[in-house]
Amino acid sequence: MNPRAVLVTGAAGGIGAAVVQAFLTDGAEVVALDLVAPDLHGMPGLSIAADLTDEQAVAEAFDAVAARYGCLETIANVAGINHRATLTQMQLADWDRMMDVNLGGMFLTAKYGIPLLSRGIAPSIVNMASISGHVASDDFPAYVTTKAAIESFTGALSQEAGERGIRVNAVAPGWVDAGFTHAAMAEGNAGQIHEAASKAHLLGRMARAEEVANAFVWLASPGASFVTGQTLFVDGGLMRVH
Amino acid sequence: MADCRTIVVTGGAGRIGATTVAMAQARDYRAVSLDLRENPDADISIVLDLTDEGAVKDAFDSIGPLVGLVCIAGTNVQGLVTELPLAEWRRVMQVNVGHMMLALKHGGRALTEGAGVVLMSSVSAHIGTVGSVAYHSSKGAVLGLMRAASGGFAPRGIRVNAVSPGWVDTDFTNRALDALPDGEAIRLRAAAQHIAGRMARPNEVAEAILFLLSDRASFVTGSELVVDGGFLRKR
Ligand SMILES: NC(=O)c1ccc[n+]([C@@H]2O[C@H](COP(=O)([O-])OP(=O)(O)OC[C@H]3O[C@@H](n4cnc5c(N)ncnc54)[C@H](O)[C@@H]3O)[C@@H](O)[C@H]2O)c1
Ligand SMILES: NC(=O)c1ccc[n+]([C@@H]2O[C@H](COP(=O)([O-])OP(=O)(O)OC[C@H]3O[C@@H](n4cnc5c(N)ncnc54)[C@H](O)[C@@H]3O)[C@@H](O)[C@H]2O)c1
Repeated sequence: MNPRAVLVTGAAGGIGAAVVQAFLTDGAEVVALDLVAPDLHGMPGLSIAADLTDEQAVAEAFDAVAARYGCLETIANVAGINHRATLTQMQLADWDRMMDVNLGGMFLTAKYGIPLLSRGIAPSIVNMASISGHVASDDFPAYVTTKAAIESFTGALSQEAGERGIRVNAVAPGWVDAGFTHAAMAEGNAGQIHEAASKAHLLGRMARAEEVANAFVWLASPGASFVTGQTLFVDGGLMRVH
Repeated sequence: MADCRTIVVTGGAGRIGATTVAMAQARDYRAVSLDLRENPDADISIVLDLTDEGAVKDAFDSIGPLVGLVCIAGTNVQGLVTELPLAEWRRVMQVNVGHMMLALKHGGRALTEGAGVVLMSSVSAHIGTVGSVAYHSSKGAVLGLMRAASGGFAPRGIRVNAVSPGWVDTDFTNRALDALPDGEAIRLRAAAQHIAGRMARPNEVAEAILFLLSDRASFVTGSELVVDGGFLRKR
């Protein structure tokens, strides 16, 4: 039997690394993609350095997957960036960059990945959205916009991909104790962030990266065979607090 | 038997409920069915009317600690707003939403730290079809109850979520269609209304319920998981 191949973008990131680990634990082989080739720590799989805004690089990445596996079961789109700037202060180039990475990257992995997914057994795509797509923000309006757009993209793609038997869903985390949040903590206000997180979430804390990764694995699993076009909130009840 | 991982399934004798009971047992849960009808395969089957508060209280008092509560019991009635008798409206609200409130009220104390609650809503909470006003309203109310209850239970680490199926291939669906003048035509169209090109199988709904009950969903609360094969996305 062929190994079940799962491509994870942003695989070197805080949450991406947890998603890679969760799929490995679930018995898959992982194609780990990031700007710098991620370390697979000796696990079988493929490590690819590619910039998701570079169409040629994405096409070549999928050529490498085709050569190694011939097909794909899952694409987990985790890569993403953030940019702090109010709308009136924002440079158009920064806005465009946010759209290119957060949204355009998912477009390109779908464009080049769908032919390989079509040859999978029960294929699906899982996209990283965020509760940010549902809340107001002065400081991160571009991020909020891309994350809302990812849910619309997920719905739109679920139709086209559905015709080829591919399910498409999104995961919307609250705050996650990893990646972006760690970067923010490194600026010296970890205590405040934990304090704010305990108020923001009904469960009184941030998510662990594995808790977000578990949602990716479940949505990609046979158990979710009738789930498509949806966003699963893994937000510890954040959306319910007001 | 406090060491058993016991869950209660209301509507546990129905098609989705019995499937949930069986799949939970296969994953080493002990499953109690609460229903108007017997489920001989459940570990315990309590026959009761879930709109009877005394009966609900007695049932939960007899069961003991719970790691999960799944509220699936539901009913449907056809009728235009201008024609629906108030008593029928009330009956649908009492069965589809009221019983969940009673189960949370009397079962809530038995839920252990980290337990999961799953309430059955429907894509009907998000759309409207002529003649099903009570059903649509009740399923919307279930989402409200889910969101409200998720706050109250959070301090004990208990998560409350909802599952919303599209069409599920069950007797419930067949009965609803039989009651409609153009039911047969709707049945033929139903598969095509899903991106998946078919209705859900009951086990696909049960899978979502069991995921939300499990530790794998430890940060999921106040959420609705739609299991509709792309029904809401398709127009
Ligand atoms: N950390 C949180 O609180 C949080 C909350 C909700 C959603 N998210 C989302 O989770 C995802 C991962 O975030 P994280 O917190 O792990 O951050 P992270 O910065 O650790 O991970 C993001 C990864 O994406 C990669 N990446 C960025 N641009 C790329 C490009 N052009 N091509 C290829 N790879 C690129 C980065 O190199 C990095 O490894 C993001 O989409 C983010 O929006 C994070
Ligand atoms: N079948 C579908 O297409 C579909 C779609 C979306 C949602 N749902 C929901 O799923 C749930 C179960 O549906 P099903 O298809 O398994 O139907 P079902 O009719 O097989 O099961 C419903 C069960 O609830 C029980 N019940 C009803 N009223 C009760 C009362 N007062 N006290 C105790 N038990 C009572 C019935 O005896 C029955 O066993 C319902 O809430 C329904 O609204 C069904």
